[in-house]
Amino acid sequence: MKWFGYTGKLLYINLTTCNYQVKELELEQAVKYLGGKGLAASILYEKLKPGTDPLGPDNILVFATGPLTGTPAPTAGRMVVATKSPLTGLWLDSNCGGFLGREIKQAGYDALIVEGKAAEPVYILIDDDKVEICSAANLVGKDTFDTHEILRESHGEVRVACIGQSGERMDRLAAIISEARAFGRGGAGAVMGSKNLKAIAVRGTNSVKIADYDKFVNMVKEAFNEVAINPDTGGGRNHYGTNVIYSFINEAGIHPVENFTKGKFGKLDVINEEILRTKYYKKDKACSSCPIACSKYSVVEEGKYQGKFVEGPEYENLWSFGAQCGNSDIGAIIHAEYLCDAYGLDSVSVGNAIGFAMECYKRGVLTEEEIGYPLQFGDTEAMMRTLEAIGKGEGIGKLLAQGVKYAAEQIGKGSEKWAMHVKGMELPAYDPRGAYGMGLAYATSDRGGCHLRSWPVAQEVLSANRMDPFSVEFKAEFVKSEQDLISAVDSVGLCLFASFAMTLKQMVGMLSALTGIKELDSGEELLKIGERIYNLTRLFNMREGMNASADNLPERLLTETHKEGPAAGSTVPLEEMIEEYYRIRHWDENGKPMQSKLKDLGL
Amino acid sequence: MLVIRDKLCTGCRLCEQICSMEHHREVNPHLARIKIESKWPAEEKIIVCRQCKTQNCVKACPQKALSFDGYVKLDEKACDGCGQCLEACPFGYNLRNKNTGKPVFCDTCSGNYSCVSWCPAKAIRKGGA
Ligand code: SF4
Ligand code: SF4
Ligand code: SF4
Repeated sequence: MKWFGYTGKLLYINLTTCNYQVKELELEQAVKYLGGKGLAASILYEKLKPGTDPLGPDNILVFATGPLTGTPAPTAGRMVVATKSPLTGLWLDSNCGGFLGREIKQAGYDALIVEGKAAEPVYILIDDDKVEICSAANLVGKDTFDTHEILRESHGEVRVACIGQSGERMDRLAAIISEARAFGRGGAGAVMGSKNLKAIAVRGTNSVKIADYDKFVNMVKEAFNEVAINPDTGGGRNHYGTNVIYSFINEAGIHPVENFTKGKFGKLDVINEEILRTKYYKKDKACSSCPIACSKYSVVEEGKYQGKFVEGPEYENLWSFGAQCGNSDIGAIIHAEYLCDAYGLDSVSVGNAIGFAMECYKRGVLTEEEIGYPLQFGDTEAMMRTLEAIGKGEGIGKLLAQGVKYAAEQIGKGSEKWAMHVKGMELPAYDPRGAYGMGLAYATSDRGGCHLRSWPVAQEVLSANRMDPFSVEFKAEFVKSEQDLISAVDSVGLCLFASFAMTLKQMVGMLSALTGIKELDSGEELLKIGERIYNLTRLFNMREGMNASADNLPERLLTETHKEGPAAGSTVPLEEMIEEYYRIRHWDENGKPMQSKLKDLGL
Repeated sequence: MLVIRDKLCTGCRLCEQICSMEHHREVNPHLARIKIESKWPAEEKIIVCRQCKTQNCVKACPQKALSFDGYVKLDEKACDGCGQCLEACPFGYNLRNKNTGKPVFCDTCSGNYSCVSWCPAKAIRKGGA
C-alpha cells in the first residue's frame, strides 16, 4: 500500500536480543487509531501482558508520531511516548513537541517500539534505514544537556531523546528529555533507565508525501489563519507563553498555595506574567511548524540566580516551584526548571513533592534530623536544596523522587491525607474546589492527576461564555467530550493548544487531504476515534486491576475548605459528577465500559 | 531579494518545509533552499542565498554553470557539484540538494516568495531591490 502522511512502517527494537525488525502499519490500525496515542494504545494493549512490572524487562516503550507530525500543519511537531507507568502502575502516554517526531517520521517510521533490556547501557542510533544499538558507556552519569552534546559531536545533526541521572536510577519521577522539552509526566524516563537505554538519536532525510497537494496546502493555510486570529493562540499565549493564565487563575482563587492549603498566592506584585514578559523573556521559541511560539527563552538578570536561564518557565512550574512551595523568587523557579531538565525530572511532580515534604515538616511528621535541614514553606534555599537532593537521589530526595504516594506510604503518620495525587500522579496547578469540572477531569484522567486530558478551567474561569465553576451542570458532558477530542489531537500529531483555535473540520480536512484516507474526512468520526482510544486506555487500566475507587481525589479537596477567596467554603462534589460521567460514557457503576459501548466502538 | 532577521526567528522551521513543498510537492527540509541553524538555547541563524551584489558564487564557478537574473540560476547539466561557488559565498551559504549533491539557490518561488508569506514571525521579508 502506498502511504501519504504516514510512512507505513513500524520499527521494533529488542534490546535483549539486539535485533530489530520493520513491520508494516495496517490500514485498519490507522483508520481505527490514527497514530500517536491511539496507535501506541493499540500496540500496548495487544502486546503488554497485564501485571507486567513497569520497571522490568517486559515493559514496552512506544515512541509514536501522528499522521500530521512532520508536516507544516500548524503545531504538527508533536509525538507521544507510551508505556506502563512506574508511577501509577497504569496506562501512560506523555506528549512532547520540538523536532524529534518530525525526525522519526522522516527517518521513515510512524513509531518505534522498544522491548527487552540491554545488558549494558546503550543508545539507539537511527539514520534513515540504518539502525544501530551502540554502547553508552561514555554517557553514563551525564545530565541530559551533556548527553545531547556528546551525541551531536559523534553523529552530527541528530535529534535526541534521553534520560539524565534520575532516569538511570529509575526514579519514578524521571522524564525523557528532548532538547529541553520533556516527555515529562508519569516516569517514562525510569522505564528507559530500566531498559539500560540512555538515549535515542535520530536522523531522517526522507520526504513526507502528500496525497491531495492543493487541498492540503489550502487547508493548512486556513488553519494557520484560524490560529493567528484566535485571541489565545494568536495573542496572549504568543505574548506571555503558558503563563498567560497566571493572574486569572490566581484571581479565581484556584492557584494552589502551600500544598493546596490556600487558593490564591499573595505575591502577585512580584510574580506575574507581565513581569516575566518584560523582565525575563528574551526570545520566543517554537516547536516544529508552530506559529504560537509559546516557549520563551528566559534569563535571570539579577539576584542570587543571575545568569541562570531556561527555555520556559512554564505556567505549571511557575506554580510547582512558586506557590506550591511558597516561593516567589522567579530566578529560583527558572533555575529549578533548568535543573529538572538537566537531571531528567518531571518538574510538575517534583515541585508538588517538595511542597508535600514541606507540609510534612510543618506538621512535625518529617523532622529536621530526618531531612538534614529545616524545610519550611517559603524557604527558597531549602526548596532548591531539596530539588538537588531529588536530582542526585540523596537523603530525603531519594524518597521524594518516587512521588508523593510512595513517599507517604513510607512516611506514614497519616501523611497520605495531604499527598496531592490521583492514581499516584501528582496534581498540577489548579485547585478544583473553585472549578468543579477540573476535579472531575483529574479524577477520570487515564494517566492520573493531570490537566491535559481535559481542561475545564478554560471554560470555568478563563472564558467569557463560561460555565459556572461551582456547579456540576454540564461538567460530565464537557469532560467526556474534551477527553475524546484531546485523545484524537494527541493521536494526529497536533498540539493541544492549536486545538483551542482550529475547528474539527479544519483538522479532518488537513488529515484527509494529507493521507488520502477518506474515512478520516469527518469530524464525527474523529471524535469517535478519540472516544475509542479513551475507552481502550480505560480497558488497559481495568486489566491492570484498577477499579472505580481510583477515580477519586485527595481527601483534602473533598473535605477541607479555604477560609478566603472566591472558592472559600467549597469542596468538590465529586461523587455526583462521577455518576453522571459514567452514565454518559456508558460505563457501569464499577467504571467498566459496557459491552454495548465496546461493540459500538469496535473494541 | 530576501531580508532576514535572525533575532525574530523562533526556530519553527516551517520555511524549510514550505520551500521543499514549493519545489517538490512533498515535505523534506533536506531538499529546501533555506535552512535554520539553531544553537540552543536562543540562537537561530537563517541560511539562505541573499542574492547579493558580489555574486562571488557566479564568478567562482569553473563550469560557468551559474548566472544571475534577479536570483542565482544553476544550469544543472553544466554543474558537476564541485561546490566552489559555495566556498566563495561571503555569507557562508552552503545548501545542496541531498540527492544530487549539487548546490541549490533560492529562486524566489517565481516571485511568490513562499517562505516570506508563511513565516509566522516575519523573520524573512521581501527586500526592496
Ligand atoms: S518560518 Fe520564520 S520563524 Fe520559522 S524558522 Fe523560518 S524564518 Fe524562523
Ligand atoms: S550564494 Fe552567496 S555569493 Fe552567491 S548570490 Fe547568494 S549570497 Fe551572494
Ligand atoms: S523564496 Fe521560495 S525558493 Fe526562496 S527560500 Fe523562500 S521558499 Fe525557498
